[in-house]
Amino acid sequence: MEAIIETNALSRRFGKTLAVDGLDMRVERGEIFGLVGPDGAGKTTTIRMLAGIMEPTAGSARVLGYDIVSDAEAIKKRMGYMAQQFSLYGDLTVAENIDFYADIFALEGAEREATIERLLAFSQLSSFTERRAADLSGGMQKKLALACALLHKPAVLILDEPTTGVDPVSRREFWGILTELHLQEVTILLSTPYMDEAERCSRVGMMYRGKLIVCDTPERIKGMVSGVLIELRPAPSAVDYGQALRDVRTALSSSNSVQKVHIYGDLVRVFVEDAETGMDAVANVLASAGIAFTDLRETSPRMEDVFISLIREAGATDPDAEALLLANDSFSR
Amino acid sequence: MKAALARISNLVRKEFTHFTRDRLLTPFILFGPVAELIMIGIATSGDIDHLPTAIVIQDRGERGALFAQMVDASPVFKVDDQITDGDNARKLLQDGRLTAVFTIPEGFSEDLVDPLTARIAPVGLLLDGADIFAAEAAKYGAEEVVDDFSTAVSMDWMHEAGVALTAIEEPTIEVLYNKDLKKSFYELPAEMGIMLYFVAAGVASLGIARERERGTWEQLLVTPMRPLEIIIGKALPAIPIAYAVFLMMLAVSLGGFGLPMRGSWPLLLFVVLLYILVELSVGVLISSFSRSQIQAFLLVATLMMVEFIFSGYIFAVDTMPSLIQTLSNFIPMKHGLNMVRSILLRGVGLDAVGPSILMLAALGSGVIAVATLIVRRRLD
Amino acid sequence: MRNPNAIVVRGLTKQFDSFTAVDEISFEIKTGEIFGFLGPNGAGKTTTMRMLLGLVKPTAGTATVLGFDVRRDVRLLRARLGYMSQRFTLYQDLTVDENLTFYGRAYGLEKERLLARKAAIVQMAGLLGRERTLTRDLAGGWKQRLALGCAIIHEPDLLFLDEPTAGVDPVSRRAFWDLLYGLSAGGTTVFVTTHYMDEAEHCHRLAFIQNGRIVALGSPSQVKQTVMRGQVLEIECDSPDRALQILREEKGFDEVALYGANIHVVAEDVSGRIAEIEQTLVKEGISVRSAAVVAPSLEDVFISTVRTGQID
Repeated sequence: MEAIIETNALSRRFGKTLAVDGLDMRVERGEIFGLVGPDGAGKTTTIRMLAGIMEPTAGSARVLGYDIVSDAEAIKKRMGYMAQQFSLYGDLTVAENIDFYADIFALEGAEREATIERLLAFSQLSSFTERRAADLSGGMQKKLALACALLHKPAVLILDEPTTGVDPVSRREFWGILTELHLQEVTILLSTPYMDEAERCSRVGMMYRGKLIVCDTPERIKGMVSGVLIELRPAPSAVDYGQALRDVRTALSSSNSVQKVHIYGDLVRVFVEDAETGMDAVANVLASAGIAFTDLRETSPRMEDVFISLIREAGATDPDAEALLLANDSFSR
Repeated sequence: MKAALARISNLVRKEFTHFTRDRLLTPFILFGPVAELIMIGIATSGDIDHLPTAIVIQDRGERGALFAQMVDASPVFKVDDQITDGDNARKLLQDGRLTAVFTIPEGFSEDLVDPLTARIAPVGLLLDGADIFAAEAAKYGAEEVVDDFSTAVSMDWMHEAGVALTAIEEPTIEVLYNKDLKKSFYELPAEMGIMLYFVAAGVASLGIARERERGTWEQLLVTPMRPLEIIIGKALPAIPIAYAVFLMMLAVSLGGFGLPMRGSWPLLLFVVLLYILVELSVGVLISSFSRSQIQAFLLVATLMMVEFIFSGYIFAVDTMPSLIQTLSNFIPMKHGLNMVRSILLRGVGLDAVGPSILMLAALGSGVIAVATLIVRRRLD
Repeated sequence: MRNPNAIVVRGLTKQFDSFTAVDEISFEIKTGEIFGFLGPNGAGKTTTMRMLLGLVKPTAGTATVLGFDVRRDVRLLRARLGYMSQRFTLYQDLTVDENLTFYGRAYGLEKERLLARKAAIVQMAGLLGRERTLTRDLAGGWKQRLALGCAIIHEPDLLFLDEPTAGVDPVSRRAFWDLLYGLSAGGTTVFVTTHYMDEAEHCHRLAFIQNGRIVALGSPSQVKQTVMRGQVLEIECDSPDRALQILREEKGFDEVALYGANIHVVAEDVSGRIAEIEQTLVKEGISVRSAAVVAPSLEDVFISTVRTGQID
């Protein structure tokens, strides 16, 4: 089955910088594919190339079977694209923006009315049609942009960081919309710096410094991490909870049974070789250090853990101390 | 005080670093004015002559032919012999293909046969007024031809009457300061003044606008730097930059175009410095309004036109309503241009430019005061 | 004599024409604390910060920063405050060293002290050997630490950070928070705004702000215990998308949302409905791997407050 999106050593250079470095990637029909990575990883550049608005400097790619360089216009007709910044017209109202795009996509008659109504309801914008786009909240602006991208019923959606800079509530609502689209079998490619969003994608491509580190389902990616993950919490009775977290981390870092320790939110997460022996070792160390804890259990790694682990394996010389990791890492862009 | 100076010099150093690293704007600011000056100099160095002309001769006598010959001989006019029909000539003038059309009417020569019965013989002259400079040159050229012709006819009559003559002396016109009436001598000082305004006001205005645009403005405000210190720090670099550009322009004008320098050097350098300071303050004022560099630049450009029009340099202010005449004294450019021109061409001293100096000083202080108030309030 | 409170705010209000950006908020921040300010864009976080920095005049209310009244004594305060704002307010066309020198001098540092502080910051930020690099050529995490360095070069008592970790990679984010802990342990008070809920957990105390009002205030555990309405049921299953849709159709849940790849269902007494929920999903052909009540995360709490805020 032909992939909806397929790249072949896709690259893009800006002057001295190689922003995207030899990407080999596939997005299958009906997937939600997440392109994950921090700022500067190359996500936006990749997306712009796939959307046909930027040419690669090397390599090639096909979207819906069309070449992104020679048939970019054919792709644009069948694709819905949402840029990272707000690219709609702030001084036009919601209705005017949608009408403008409906005209561009040559929607007409009863079907046009029906489509617009449906999309407004879908994006929870029905009661805001007369509001100027600039006066909408960040989350609503993104929903409006999404609605405009869906007007022509595209087979594939390409979204550049659709939830960045948006408050948690709007993020959830946006994902509610994406989920529905996914169930309607729209293929979605989105980029995000949020690792937790990567968890819920059908497949994930992790990018760092222009390279695709890994491209697979979340389960298989998590399986790439060596060791087992256990987590625990300092006792909530701790006077300074933040300090308690760090005390736990310090105590465990010195243990031989522990591969890696770090703090994640209000949890301390520990990579060990084996769950049972690991949990025993942890309990012992903390007991000797006089640190009370709770909720000790085995857990599955999160995408963030994997990400860190993979980039370490890709380049670091001293994985123990994070500060040293940063100092040794070669970082010229 | 020492701390304030240290902070200001810190900011000035940073501004110069930005300036030297800017690959786009910096070459433009440094070399643009000189390039433009050279072009203006070349364009205004020549005299206006060889104007396309036609002569419609309806007269059939000798004198008519003589007049036509004299027009042809004048360097101001370039006569196209092919055009002899009046209507055709008029149409060509309308189309802009001719600047002047002389019409020598029927009976012209007969009117001038006998001094006792001579009447004033009219020669028609049609000028293209849409091109003021050419028309003026044509008018003067025609007047010269008429003078020469009248003299020639008078001498003929005298000769025929048997009167011995010595040559008539024409009143001598002595043109002071610009013997050849070279336009460039008028234009170049003006151009220098305008460019100085651009560099001084422009660099000063872009400085603050750039910080706002980049978002570093807030960070600056949070430091112990006072608003006045920030303004001074941002404006100061404009002074050496504008001065450097001025010296380059002066070198080109004096060396390349022969513009004379008849006045005192210290006075000129001082006057230019003062002018730079004032226009720099204008730039700072503009900057306090601007949210972006483009906005600042557009405001600077618009204000330039206003200052130039009311400076009285091209458009004679004395013909404007008296209110506007009074207002023009508040235009820094008026004082700047006049002082530079006077010192260069007329070699005047302190007594002549004194009032202008005082006016500039007053204007400058006023503008800085307003700018400081606005920037302080706009911290919000 | 050290003030127990670095910041005291009472009834602070800011109105822009008809729009009330900050609506009578009150709170204290203890000296040496890391205090987090969370809220959606436009909720009033940045405006509050600007008022505390003396950049914006309050319409009403009072704010005392390091013992000084923010309306009257701002100039005295400037030298003791540090500020790092959202857009990494570094000069991109200056080198690392030039940026540090500029900010150092702007705060009156000179000669030995300036050199010493610059060296310390270069060390802290991991920029040894990169002093001559143009700022725009630095990768995100380094820029962020350099910006922090410029904000603390004069060793301020109080540090304001506006969304300092936005878009930065996870490793750098963690390193950054370690730096903040170090500062806090040394007695510097830190006031930070952030969108990242997991980072909010790192704060000693935090406040949720919404529509200009504070809707929750306290330590992360306090906030979770007192503010959270209802319990959180975490469901791990296959086809979370379909599960989401199905459960949304059900009545009686305050919130049904994706959390990571799992589903969080929030309701008053959700523990009693676990069996029922499992059955609903299984009937639709979805296999459920686990369904258990978990301690709420800050994201759950935040969403819960926003929701109740909307209802109220």
